[in-house]
Amino acid sequence: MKNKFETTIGSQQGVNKTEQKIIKSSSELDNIFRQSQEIVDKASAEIDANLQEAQKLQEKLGEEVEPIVDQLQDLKSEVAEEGAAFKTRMERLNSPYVLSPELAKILEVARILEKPLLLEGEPGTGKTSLAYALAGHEDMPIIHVQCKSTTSAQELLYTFDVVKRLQDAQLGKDVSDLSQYVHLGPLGRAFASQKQVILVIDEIDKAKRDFSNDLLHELDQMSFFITETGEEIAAKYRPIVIITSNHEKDLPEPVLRRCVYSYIEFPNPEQMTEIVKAHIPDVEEKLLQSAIQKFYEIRQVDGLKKKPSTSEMLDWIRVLKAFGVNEVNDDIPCPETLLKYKEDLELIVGSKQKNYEESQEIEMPQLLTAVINGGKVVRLKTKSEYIDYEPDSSIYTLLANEGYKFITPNNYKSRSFDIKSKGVCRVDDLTFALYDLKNSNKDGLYLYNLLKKNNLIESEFMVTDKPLKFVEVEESNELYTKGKDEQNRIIYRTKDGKFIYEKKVVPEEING
Amino acid sequence: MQYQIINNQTDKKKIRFQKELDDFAKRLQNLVNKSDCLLNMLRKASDKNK
Repeated sequence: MKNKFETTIGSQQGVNKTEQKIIKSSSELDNIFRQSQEIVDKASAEIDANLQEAQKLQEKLGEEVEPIVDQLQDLKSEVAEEGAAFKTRMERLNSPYVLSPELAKILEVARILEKPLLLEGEPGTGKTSLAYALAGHEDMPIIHVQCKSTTSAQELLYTFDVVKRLQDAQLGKDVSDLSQYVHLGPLGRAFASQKQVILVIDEIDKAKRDFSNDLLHELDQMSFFITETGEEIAAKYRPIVIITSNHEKDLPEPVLRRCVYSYIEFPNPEQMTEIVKAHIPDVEEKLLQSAIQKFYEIRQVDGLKKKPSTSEMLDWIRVLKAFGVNEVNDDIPCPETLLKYKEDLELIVGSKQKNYEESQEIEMPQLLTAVINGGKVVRLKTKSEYIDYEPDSSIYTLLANEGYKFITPNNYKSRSFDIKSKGVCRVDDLTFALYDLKNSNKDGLYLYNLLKKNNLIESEFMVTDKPLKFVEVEESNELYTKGKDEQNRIIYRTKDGKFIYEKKVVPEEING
Repeated sequence: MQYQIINNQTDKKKIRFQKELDDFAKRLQNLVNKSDCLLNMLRKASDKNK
């Protein structure tokens, strides 16, 4: 049977793999992120100014107006949340999806029967990603409902703002038009949409058992009434409903009956190969195959608290590439990227982990950018511009003689601009922590002065609250945005809104 | 087994992303407008108190 996906995208099967494109984080997507950050900054600043004025007025007007000031504060938080949600949404919409023939068929069945598609499977099997990829592929709007234990069916349909109506009444406003106090929820918006949308009800098993039962009628009828106004909201275009579940608990039988059900198996090595290639097209075959073999070996180990999933696999490959690893052999480089529990790390890596760290101590004097406790952020002088791969032994020897050693932190994601209480932490692509073993009370300033004295500091990173303008963005992640300013300086904007720029250390300063 | 890769067309994504960004800007502008309304309520209340 030929299905819609075969007919619409089947022609892509013959496309040369190198032509498979994703918008890389360093280009268009970053540009979108930069623009969205500017929008967030602008909105935050405006709401902040309003809030400050409101707080001053509150001093005059008293506690009575506190709820209004609270609402302003909520709006400020909402802006930040919207910003974060936008980024996640864009990343999801940017992800290509490797669709198996079975899943393509199931999608078509759900479409023909006009029934919600219930996808079950362990976390990381691409249930939510599928909904977003479909939205991107079919150019359809997507509405996402993230279920929590507190999510109610009613809030998905609509809410009626009684408080606002009361406030308006107190202010003498006309409150007779009730529709102005109705706020449609995600399901309500999906029904009211003038275009067919994809509605993803994510992790339904996290909501209370009643939640799914309560939605049955509305999902069947594709309509509901707003009690307060008597208005009926009926779907003009039946949304494509995708419900996901991690199978933390069984769903009620009536729900199962009304859905087209599919259990997504964890991708097999062949499919995983395609997934990695789709996300990281420039991955070397040798690295890919050896990493996939190791990945599935790890997944087969009994007793893991959390088996590594696809997203961890993708992260792992990215990290291995960044570390310049060409092939995975017996040792497991960067296991903390794959395994999220200490017990799992011990189970899989065990004593190997210790050896690995010890070997790093000798082999990895790869300090490029460092945060030194005491508030100094520096770029160290190197003999080679490729210091990542050609360690500068003079730095290492100096630091080793002073009792410092390099280790890999437990979680590479812990990289940050925060000043560590001890030691030095690398903050660029590769993250290493340098801990002071000899004397934990040693002042970071001592290390800073030592490096300075030995003419090993190329530049210092200065931290400022004053916004710096990006003319080019090179990298953006959950912790910082990195790019260049008008003076071609490398600048960063950290997640807490601080700006960091690089200032060359001239010899006079060192000698002085 | 023949796998199909969907959502990998850069040009399509560019247009989509711009639209998403525009919608995002509108949503945030709505929040700013709400905050303006709230502040105006306080200003009016303050004027009445004078």
